[in-house]
Amino acid sequence: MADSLLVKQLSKQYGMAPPIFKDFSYEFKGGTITGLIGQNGSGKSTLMKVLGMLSRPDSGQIIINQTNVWEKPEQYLREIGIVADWFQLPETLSFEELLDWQMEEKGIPLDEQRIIKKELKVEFNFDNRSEQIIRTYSSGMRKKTAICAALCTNPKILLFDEPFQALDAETREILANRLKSEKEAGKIVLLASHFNHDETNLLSDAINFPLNR
Amino acid sequence: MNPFFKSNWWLYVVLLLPLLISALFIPLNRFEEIQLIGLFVIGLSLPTMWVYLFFPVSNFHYWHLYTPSKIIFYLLFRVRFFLFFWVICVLICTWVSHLLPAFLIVPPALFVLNSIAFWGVGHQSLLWRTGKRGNKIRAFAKETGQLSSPMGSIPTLVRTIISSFFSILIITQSLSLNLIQVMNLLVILFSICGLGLFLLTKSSLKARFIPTFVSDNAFYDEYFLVQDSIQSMKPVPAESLFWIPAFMRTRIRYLLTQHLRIRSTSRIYLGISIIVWILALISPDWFDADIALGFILLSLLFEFHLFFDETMGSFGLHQKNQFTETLITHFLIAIRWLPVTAISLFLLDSFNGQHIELLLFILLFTFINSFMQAIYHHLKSKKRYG
Repeated sequence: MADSLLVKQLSKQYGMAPPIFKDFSYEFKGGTITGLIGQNGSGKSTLMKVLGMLSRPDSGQIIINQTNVWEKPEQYLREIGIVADWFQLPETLSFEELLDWQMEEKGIPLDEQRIIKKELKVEFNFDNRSEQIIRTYSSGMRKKTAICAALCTNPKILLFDEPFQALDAETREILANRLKSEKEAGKIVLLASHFNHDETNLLSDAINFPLNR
Repeated sequence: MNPFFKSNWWLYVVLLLPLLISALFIPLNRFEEIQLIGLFVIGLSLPTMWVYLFFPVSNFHYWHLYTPSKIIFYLLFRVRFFLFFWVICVLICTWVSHLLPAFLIVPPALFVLNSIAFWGVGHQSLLWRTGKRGNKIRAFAKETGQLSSPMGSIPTLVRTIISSFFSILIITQSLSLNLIQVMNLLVILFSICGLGLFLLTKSSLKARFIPTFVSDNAFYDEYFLVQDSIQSMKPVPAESLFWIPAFMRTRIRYLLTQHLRIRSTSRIYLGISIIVWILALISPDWFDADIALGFILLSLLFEFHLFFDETMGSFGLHQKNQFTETLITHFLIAIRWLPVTAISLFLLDSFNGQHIELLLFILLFTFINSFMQAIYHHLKSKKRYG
């Protein structure tokens, strides 16, 4: 279990534009849900991309278990689950195949894979369309697929950017409950969203954007 | 019949009938027969290629909002790879000079011919489906129960047969004329282009172009891009990738599955290789090894360019996030046909025993391609995520 994810003096700037964040430091602790709150374009997704190693910071460190993640990226990437609209899903695989891929990569035994897949399908109300390719899914189904793909390998860090967007009320509630149980299991959960009242109750802590520009 | 040349079908017949008759009486020596086989393959594959090169187009429902010129530029963009490979063919044939005129003129001429033949098939398909055409066949099918194809596919089926037939015919003629005078080929090209332009302009391009394009696309969308057909392709079996290191197998398996579901170009490569084997085994002295090698490299290049596709980039490879991993993944996927290439080279007994050197050259060629793909995907990822 990851006790904490330490961010030290992280800076990110695109070209000559003002920095998105500068010397940002924070400790994301296990068993907490941290909300990233702010207006559109304030840098929430950029921070998510940096933490998800999709974008490299200009300076600073991300440390987990006393190791800078850029030194051992593979190890860190096995510990994170990402849900974001900008994180493109493989369009010509089905929900089932995507989950199989993720779990096989992690070496989860086949029997266990079947159980996890079945549980996620029941939990998130997937019907027989789970065998169709992702290209045919609605935006809500895509979001559910991304969530299940991120959760199926039981990662220690969850980076969820706008996870409630495009979901119906029932699924939003299911997701909220799931996030609560992930928190109780000691995971580090980061949520970037425009929260409604109920969802705000999920948060253990919040970071307001824009950060110290 | 295509609405564009509905009232002018006799022109088509007048143009092509003499070619048909004379083709039957062309005396050919053995070397010319070999050239003929190569051109025959092109003749047979062009009608099908045409359909895949132009259709179906995603988001075609919005295309009625665009101008004809925008659609034409888009279609030219879609055939850029055909044009690229045609240029490569011409370069190869410059190297083997006697084939140059045929390759310079015949493929574009056939392309125009197929464009005329297939244009408007969507409208015809609709008439066949709604029962306004083909009543006799429909009645026959009902009576005997012998027609398994959907009625809407009959116009395309008929056009494919006719188009293949005429393509082969033109190839036969081009070859015979090529031996006499290049100018005759130019006459054929300009005749066909002229006929196509005449028929298109006569039918009022602006008024008919867009509705015809949209209805054709709807037809091909329905018949060639049915989601079921993509889904019915099972993931690549893990056992078939036994030669890939176990720790990379899963990732390569699913990347390859995505790649094959988009365009199964491996079949083209395998098909060309099998033709090379058969010809080399039947009679090695028939075969021009340089041309065979050219085709092998060309089909490999065609396969490789598809690795620049989005599916081969971000999602799967992000989990490793390292340039070398991306490079190795692409290289391993690309060399899966190396044994097939090796067999082709050894069967073509005309390289003065330099098979190993050639194989190493192809391996280097593959590596350079993989390197370029890895750079491309990393730059693309950097651009996407910042």
